Amino acid sequence: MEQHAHTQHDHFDAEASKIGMWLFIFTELLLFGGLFIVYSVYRFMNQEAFHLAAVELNTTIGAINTVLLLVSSMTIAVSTTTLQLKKKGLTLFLLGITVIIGIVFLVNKYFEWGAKIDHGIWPGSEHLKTAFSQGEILFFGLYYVMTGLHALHIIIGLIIILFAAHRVYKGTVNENRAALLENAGLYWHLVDLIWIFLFPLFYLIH
Amino acid sequence: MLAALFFGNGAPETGWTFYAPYSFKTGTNLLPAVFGAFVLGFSSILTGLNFLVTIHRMRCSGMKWTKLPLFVWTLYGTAWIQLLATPVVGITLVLIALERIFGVGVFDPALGGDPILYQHLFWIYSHPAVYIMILPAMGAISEIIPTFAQKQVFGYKAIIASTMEIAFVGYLVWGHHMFTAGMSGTAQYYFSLLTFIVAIPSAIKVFNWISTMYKGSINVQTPLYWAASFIFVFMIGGLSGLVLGSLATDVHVHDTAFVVAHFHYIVFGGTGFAFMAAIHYWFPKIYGRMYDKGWANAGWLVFFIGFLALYTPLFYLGMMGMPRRYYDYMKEFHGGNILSTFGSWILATGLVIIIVNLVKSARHGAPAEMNPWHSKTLEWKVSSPPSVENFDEIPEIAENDGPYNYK
Repeated sequence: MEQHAHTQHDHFDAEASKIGMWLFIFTELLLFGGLFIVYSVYRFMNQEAFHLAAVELNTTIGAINTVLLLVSSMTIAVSTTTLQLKKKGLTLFLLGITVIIGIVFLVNKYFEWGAKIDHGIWPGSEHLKTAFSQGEILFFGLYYVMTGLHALHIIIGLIIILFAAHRVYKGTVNENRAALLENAGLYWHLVDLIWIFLFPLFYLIH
Repeated sequence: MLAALFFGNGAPETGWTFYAPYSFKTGTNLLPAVFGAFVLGFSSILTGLNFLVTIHRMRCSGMKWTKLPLFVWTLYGTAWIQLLATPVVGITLVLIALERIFGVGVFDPALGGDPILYQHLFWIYSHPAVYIMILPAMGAISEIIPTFAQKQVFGYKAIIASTMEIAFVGYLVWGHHMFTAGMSGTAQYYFSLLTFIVAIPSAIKVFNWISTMYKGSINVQTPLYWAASFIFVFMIGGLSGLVLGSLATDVHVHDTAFVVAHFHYIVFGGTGFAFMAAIHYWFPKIYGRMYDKGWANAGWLVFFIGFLALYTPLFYLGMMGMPRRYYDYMKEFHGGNILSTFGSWILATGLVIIIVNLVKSARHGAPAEMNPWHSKTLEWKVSSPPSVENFDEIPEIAENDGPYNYK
């Protein structure tokens, strides 16, 4: 078998690191999968309340954020190709764009959460407990938990991308050893994919 | 975890399950414990991931999937369970922490949440977790039995298939921990049926081990004593599990000492005995020295007698209705409890003999041969203890080589 040859001198195995990343992404999906189960059960139990609460969310900001993440997924995918074409400058430029879009997403999220908090809606707030039904409390609780955990993944993704960009800049990530950048891209796609599920669940289903 | 015990407002008293809603109502120092469990879960995921990638990518030349030692196969099955089940309990622990800090309401009945849903999420991981414990144990036994019978393992592919079946079906039986917690009749039937189905592959393995020994040239050594007693206690533990898996009898023995007996026969009797078998099997490879076989056998005998005396009365007490989790008991349970207590002392004595013998032998034991048990797997083809990186030259497996090719 061909893995024989390179284990002797060099332990690096691009295929292995990619399998590892895919498996890790699988576990991340299961992590959010637990939350999707919780969401489905409570949606089933409180259909009316979930409908009422969902109206409160700003679909426009949600849609803008969806488009932003889709574009950033494209830019990072293109950057892995430009790395193969040995266009280092363009690769770094595309990674920069990806990071900026990620930050814009977080800023949008900040204003969205801020508006809700201004209205007195946050987990455990008095206003939420007194003025809303139990189903609505659950909806907003899950909204904060799931979008919050997603935002945390965005931040982790940004750090990984910056780390990969630094290595591209130094040249230790190059067309022959592209695994780190490709895995950063895979992770970013995961973050995008989870948002693709979150957006309809919270904003679109009425 | 330790920080939770010693600092803050007292040690967490939720038990290991962190059941809602008590886990976020209690004033004790629960957050470090939850955080510790989360970190352990993460390390378990990464371990599984490491094993999966390693087994897929780093097999030596000629090591086909059908030539992989069974211990590696069971690690492969275990790694999949670690990878697939642990994230669910990870997110559940995160929710408990957020519930404590912010009062989100997800599991709080006062805010519309459902504590039973917490139990489901918890057991979706925590039932497969027992297969994480038992599968590598079964793998070690599958190495030891053919070695000491000097015979090709019976039903190599059946053992692999049953390993993967346990890994898969084991994921779908969590509900049997909650038969009395409130669940629809239909759900109960399915969980009960699946629980019976998951017992089948374990039974297949037992048949395989016994058939391997049949007409073999048995070499009676300490690891074989442990392996044979493993099969004995594992069968009792497994069959008593079926009593708990059937709906009617489960209601009778639920939350009694019977459950304690079943659990310990499987996890202590199963995993613990296999662990001892494995230690005594690979000890000469690890340290390059042989332990004192007389003391090792004596330790096994005392431990085995102590084990039976400690846990067997609990089956009987549970059937009579003695509940678990109480430090006190009624008068009619006295005899069983006394026998059990004596058993625990005998077992502890056996454990001391074993540990002292192993620790002493690791330092002063007689030098061991490279392959004292005449085993066929690769680790016995290098020096004891193995050199750094194990193999100076990557071995190659020829067409007729195999992990159990005894003649």
